[in-house]
Amino acid sequence: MNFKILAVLAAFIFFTSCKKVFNVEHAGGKITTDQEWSTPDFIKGYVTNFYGILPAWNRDFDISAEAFGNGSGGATLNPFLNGTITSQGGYPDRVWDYASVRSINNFFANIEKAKSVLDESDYKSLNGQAYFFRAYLYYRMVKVFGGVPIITSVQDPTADMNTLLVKRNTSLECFDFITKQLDTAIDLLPTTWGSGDIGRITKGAAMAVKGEVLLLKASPLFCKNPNPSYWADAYNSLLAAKNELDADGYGLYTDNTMTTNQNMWYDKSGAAKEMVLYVRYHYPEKTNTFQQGQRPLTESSGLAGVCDPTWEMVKEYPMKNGMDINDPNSGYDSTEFWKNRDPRFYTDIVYNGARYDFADITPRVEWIFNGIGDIDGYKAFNLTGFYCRKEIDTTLGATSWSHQAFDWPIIRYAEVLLNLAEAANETGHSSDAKNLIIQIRQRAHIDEGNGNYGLDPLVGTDYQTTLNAIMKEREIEFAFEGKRFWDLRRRRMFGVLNNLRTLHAYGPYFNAAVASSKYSIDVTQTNSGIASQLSNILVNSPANFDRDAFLKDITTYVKQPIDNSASNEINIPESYYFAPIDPQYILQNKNLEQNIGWDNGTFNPVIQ
Amino acid sequence: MKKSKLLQLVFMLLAILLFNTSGIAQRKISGVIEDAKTNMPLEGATISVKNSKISAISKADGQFQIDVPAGNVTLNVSFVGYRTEKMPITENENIVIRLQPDSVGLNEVVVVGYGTQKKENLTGAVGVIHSSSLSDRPTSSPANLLQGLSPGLTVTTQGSYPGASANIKIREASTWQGGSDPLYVIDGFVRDAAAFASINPADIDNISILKDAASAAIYGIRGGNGVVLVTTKQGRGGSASISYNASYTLNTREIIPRKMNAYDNYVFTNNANLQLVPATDPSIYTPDELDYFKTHSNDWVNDTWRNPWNTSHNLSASGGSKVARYYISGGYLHQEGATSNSFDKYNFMAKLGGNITDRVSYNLIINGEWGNGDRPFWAYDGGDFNLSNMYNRLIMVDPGRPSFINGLPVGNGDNTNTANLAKGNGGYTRPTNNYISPSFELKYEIPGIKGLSAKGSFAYNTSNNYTKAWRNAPYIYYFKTTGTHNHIITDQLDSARSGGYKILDQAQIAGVGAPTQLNESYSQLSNYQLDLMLNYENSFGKHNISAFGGYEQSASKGHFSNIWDNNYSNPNYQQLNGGSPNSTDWRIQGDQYQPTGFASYLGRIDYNYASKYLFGVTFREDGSYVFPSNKRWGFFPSISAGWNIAKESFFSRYNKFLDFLKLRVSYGITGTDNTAPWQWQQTYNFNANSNVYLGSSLYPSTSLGSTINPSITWERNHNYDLGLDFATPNRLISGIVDYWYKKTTNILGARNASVPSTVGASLPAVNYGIASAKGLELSLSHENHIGELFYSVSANWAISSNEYLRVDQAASVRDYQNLIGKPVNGVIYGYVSEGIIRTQEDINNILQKNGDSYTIFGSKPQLGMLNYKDIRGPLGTDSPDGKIDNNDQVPISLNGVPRVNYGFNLTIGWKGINVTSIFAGLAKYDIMPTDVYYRRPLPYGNDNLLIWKNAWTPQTAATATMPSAIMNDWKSISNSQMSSSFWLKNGAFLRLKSLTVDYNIPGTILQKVSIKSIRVYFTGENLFEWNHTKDWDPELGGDFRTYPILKGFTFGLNATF
Repeated sequence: MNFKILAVLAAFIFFTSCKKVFNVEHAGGKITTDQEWSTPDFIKGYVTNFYGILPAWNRDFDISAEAFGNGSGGATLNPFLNGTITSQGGYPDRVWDYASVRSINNFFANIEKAKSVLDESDYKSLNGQAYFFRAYLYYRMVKVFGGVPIITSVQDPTADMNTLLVKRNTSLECFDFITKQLDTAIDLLPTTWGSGDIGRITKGAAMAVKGEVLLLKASPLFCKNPNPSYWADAYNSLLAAKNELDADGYGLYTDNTMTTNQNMWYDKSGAAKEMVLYVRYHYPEKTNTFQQGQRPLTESSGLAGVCDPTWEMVKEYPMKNGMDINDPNSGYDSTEFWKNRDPRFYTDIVYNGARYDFADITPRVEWIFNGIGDIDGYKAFNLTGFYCRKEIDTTLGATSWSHQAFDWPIIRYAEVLLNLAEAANETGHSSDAKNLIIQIRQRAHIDEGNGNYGLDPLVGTDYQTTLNAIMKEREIEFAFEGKRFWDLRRRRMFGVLNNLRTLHAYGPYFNAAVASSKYSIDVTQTNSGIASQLSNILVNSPANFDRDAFLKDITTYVKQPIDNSASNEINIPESYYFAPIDPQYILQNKNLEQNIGWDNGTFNPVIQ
Repeated sequence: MKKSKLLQLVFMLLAILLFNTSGIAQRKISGVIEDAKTNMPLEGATISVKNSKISAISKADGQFQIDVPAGNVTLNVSFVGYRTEKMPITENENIVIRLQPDSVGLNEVVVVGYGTQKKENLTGAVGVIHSSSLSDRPTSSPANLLQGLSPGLTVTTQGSYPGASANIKIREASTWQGGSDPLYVIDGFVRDAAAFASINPADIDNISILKDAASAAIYGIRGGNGVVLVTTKQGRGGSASISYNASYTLNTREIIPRKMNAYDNYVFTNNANLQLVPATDPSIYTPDELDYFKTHSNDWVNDTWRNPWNTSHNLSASGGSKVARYYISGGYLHQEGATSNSFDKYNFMAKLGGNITDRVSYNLIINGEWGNGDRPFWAYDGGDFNLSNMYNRLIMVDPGRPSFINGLPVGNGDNTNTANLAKGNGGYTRPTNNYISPSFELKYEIPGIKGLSAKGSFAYNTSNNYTKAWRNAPYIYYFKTTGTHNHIITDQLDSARSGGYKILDQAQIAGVGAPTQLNESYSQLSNYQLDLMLNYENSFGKHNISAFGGYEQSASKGHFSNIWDNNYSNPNYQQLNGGSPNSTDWRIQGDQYQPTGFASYLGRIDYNYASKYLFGVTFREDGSYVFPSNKRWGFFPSISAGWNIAKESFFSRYNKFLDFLKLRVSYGITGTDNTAPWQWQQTYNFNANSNVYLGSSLYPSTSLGSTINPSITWERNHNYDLGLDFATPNRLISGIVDYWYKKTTNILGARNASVPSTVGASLPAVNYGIASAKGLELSLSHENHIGELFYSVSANWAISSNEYLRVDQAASVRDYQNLIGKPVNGVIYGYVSEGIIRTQEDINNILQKNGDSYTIFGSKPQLGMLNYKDIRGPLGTDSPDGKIDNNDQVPISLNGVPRVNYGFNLTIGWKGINVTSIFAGLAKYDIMPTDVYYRRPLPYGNDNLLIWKNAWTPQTAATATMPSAIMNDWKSISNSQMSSSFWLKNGAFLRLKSLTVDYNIPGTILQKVSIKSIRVYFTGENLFEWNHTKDWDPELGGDFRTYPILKGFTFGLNATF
């Protein structure tokens, strides 16, 4: 009896569960190929994913001499600057993203069969975005390496290895490929998007990128010998981009005043018209915590000293009258270097004794005095004597800094103007170039003066003077936005960095004797006690009190190298204009030639 | 119980009286058979009279009666797993015979996969560990106890806390895929390491370690790393036996890194700093400050540390009738940790088994555990009870900083105060977990065919984990500083500080941005296993055969969710609904576990002829959900043979020297499915959060999944084992030697190294790699009786190695990076040190040798640096290139993991007193210390080990044993902190793992109070370690800040009623 029951039971369990046991589900989130290409939302989601290709917060300020960024561990020159990087790492923004290339190629391999399920307008705009991102991705790669292999098919990794050992295309072939992709994208993309899609690529953005690509192609980086027709292409396409953007409602953000917290970094809706190509952020969904270490440590946590402006950068800012500080007529007083500077100086640079209010502590004075400034002080967590305030949201205090969420511009309208100015100057339209610079200076509230906004009288007539003015304007306008290094590289101007020899701090030290005798500061108090007395004087003295003189009196500035080591000399080798390909890729594929100057390389990325 | 005992005694006395008066030339002897170690009665022991055929068997309570001829006779008492005792009987008496457990008892029954075998008939390499080796040692987890007990079993402790199981590795792996965790099978139910760790050690009867294919291949699919088979205690039937164990353990730190005190530390940092800055620099400690620090030095670990202790109690009862034998047990463990943490664990087990009819028997097991932990909230604790990261932070603190002043946590210098958080002032984490695992088995002896039976069993396990974590940011306080350079922290609050003298602890806010947070997570996992088996066992003359075949199926599934809310308006109301209603403050996360499914057909046939010639065959056909249906099934057979040479007649003349000699040989295949499922099916991923913000929301996105491998299938692990077992009469010397070789083919891995990067595909795993491993294992033991003195010595030793035979590599990989022929694990890459650059003359020599443009990681050679050997240049330059950079690395050691493990045990017993010691060690082992902590002192005074006192300075140039303290990140250069042969340390060690002294109170005393046995014991755990690394324990790797393995002192009591 028992046996029968057991046998029946056993047979039952056996036959019902044996097959079923393998019927397990995916752990979630998986879509089959058929589902993917028959569902419009999935296809749109596939293209949305391409937006991850856009770079954000690649600021590269430490290799452009703008700032020093070494955290709390010490102060060492970026190995790029002293020429000690290797082909295995250290070159900035070295994108070799063939995974995204494959992803986009896969879109083109499938989109035709999905045409029937998509609206005509969606079909067009999805294609337009895909073409744009394929172009943009190759542009990012070609920018650092020169020519790279152009791959437009979805390769089978199990295919005959020899068919996968691709060669590099020439830089020229790559530029042509990118331009063609962009032309297609420009035809397909809309000029504006609905409110739910703000932040997607517009026709104007694609045109601005095309202008930038052609500017790069014509630039001295790729053309050691100028090619007038390349410059003409760049000029024409940038002019077309500007006209399209103007027509589509883009323009300069004009409410920029010198008051902190009232500039385009905070006025998100006002600044929208200047955002041509950008990455959107929003609290709480997507925040940017990149400035954690840029804030003074008392208004941050865990990290500090990662973006402290160098003395070299601080000196670059013109005066309020637009003149360079080296100009004898500029009115620059080196003992009160913070006085009467370009308004952009005050939104970018925090100097010792500057007001730096935060939501949780107001009024607040930033004391960077060595010793007195405590953990925020020079040589405690501060490396240079300065803090950078650009892109810092001071409405957020020490407990909420991580909520910061403004949009990160990749191309601002201002850059389109200065790109156009550069191309104009190269094609004999120097006076147009001057007008474009003046638009930027006007917006920055530089004094109009005689109508030149402090520009050298030769700007607009002399090619080299105009070029210098453009580069300077780019340096100041886009300071700490990740442009300076790439501008110097594009113009083959690493010599500017090499001539600096090394980077310096301008460290503020407290002059206790004067503070005590002249301002009755009780200097026997503890550091924080002294700091609190000093703040009181700055904040509460009557309006006619000469605060600049006060700061000057109590401070002794010491200029000293930030990096004290024997290897602190800036010495960027000629070969660094182009990035080396990571040798691991060459070990895989002997057909990939290395760039000249790296690991016995033979590939020449220069067009002419 | 009391009554029956008394009756028996009366009966026996009557019997003796009767015999005495009867005058017949025969008499009855009665007595009790007990385990000499535990005093537990033994059921089923054979009592025979020497030189006669008279014999008897002991009953459940150990009692026996036997008729013996008059006069002097000798009783032979034998029992499986025990040494045979010879007991001369001179007078009529009620005797107690105590049997010594026999470590190599040939008649011992060994638990093997899906059954048991007599040790004599084993053809596989199986290590057996009895409960007697495990008891008396305080631990919450049995894994910790296995160290040093079996050759080829490498056990490395991860710290001394409950739930933290030791890592167990059986032999060396011949694959680089997946972990080296063996398979754990508890009472026939396949479980994981966590389940093994949570089992109550008091419930374990024995553990078998299946090392070779002959024994492990029956687990086919998951037997590749060997198997740990755990059998828990069974009800013995008969009258009830109750046993109670209790222990109390106090722990202390065994190895304490030698750090500098405040004064030494600042003299040292001054010496280093003065090479960079003038004495007026505020970073320099001035004489008045140094003077102060001579008498003021802090140690944050001491400020918070309390010696952890724990206590455990176990109560078990067994007994019953033929219909229902039972074993029930309950265990309780309470542990107090080194900070304000504690842990409680409750185990229970209930087993019921018996015969329903003559042919039908059953077994029911219910096993469960509850665990409740409570520890300070620590943002980086990674779920570990002993808060090793917190320990790490406490031990690194600059000794000049006090942790508390007048009871207030000090904030100066760091914005956070770890000591305050360690005391529980920043919230708590309270994990609770429980599992319950019932199983049921029914066995039927099929009529008609002798020895044929059918068995069905079903086991189920469900576990639930719930963790509540409350984080709050306590205030920390700033105090005024004094001293010429303000290095001394006074006891006056710094009221002038911008932002106030008290702030919220910043580490508690980091990443949250809110001063309070409640986080609750919940997970639930379940799995089952179904077995249907047919067994056959019979003998035909000298032909003995046993066989079984069956079907097994198992599956698992699970669920996880996590929810948190920030900003609690009333921090005393710590419930989820008390948090901020603002949607930006809360978050819900969830995850779906990948369900699994497996099915198998398996079987085994064992045959022997008179226990002389032994053959075994096993097979397993395994199906895994991981692979596509046409590649799902894998066949894993094994074959083995043994020859008991000592039983051969030609060997008989040697039997007085060697009465046991067996040669074993086995070959078999095991498999691994250690890779992600679905790699054969093209998919796209749905990303609910694309991290792309457009318009006014985060858009969902889809992305292309990996390319596929439609023919993905099993890794195949070929195992060979050659073994020799031998023993001399009376086990004076016995031993086992095994030589093994493994080769794994079809190792799964993505071919990322060789497929050109431009393909851009995320690649699936393919069956490509090949690796091998081999090793030698020896164990030797000696035991002897001298009168009442019993002693045994046993030692085991194993060496192993492995190598890559085929692995995916770039087409033109450079020679020094070529993996072929190199060990699969334990290769340490680094630079070849040429020593400290001590003098200018050294620099001149270096430049002369290497050229004037010679640089070391971009720097010109400087005094106090380490110099390295220039070996090659970048791709295309295979000779020295005049600079040291990352192209100059070589494998500086191939022994980054221990290649040798060994252990020895000593036991001495005399009149109920036993002393047992276990030594365990690892050898042929090199360690590269972790860089930031050991190779690189930091300028802020944290972490500085005493060894740095002898760093290079201009004054100590000739005698320094360490490079200059500033030739590293301190001076913003790369030099001394690189992995190099300069820092390579010998990691070999020998540890006195445990020393136990126990005493059995004589039964004659106990019988009066109706107690069967009482044992009291004292155990010292991790009492001493012989090593080459003074500042840390090599068993934990190369970081002195790792939470230490603790030294424990235990007092315990076992009583049986």
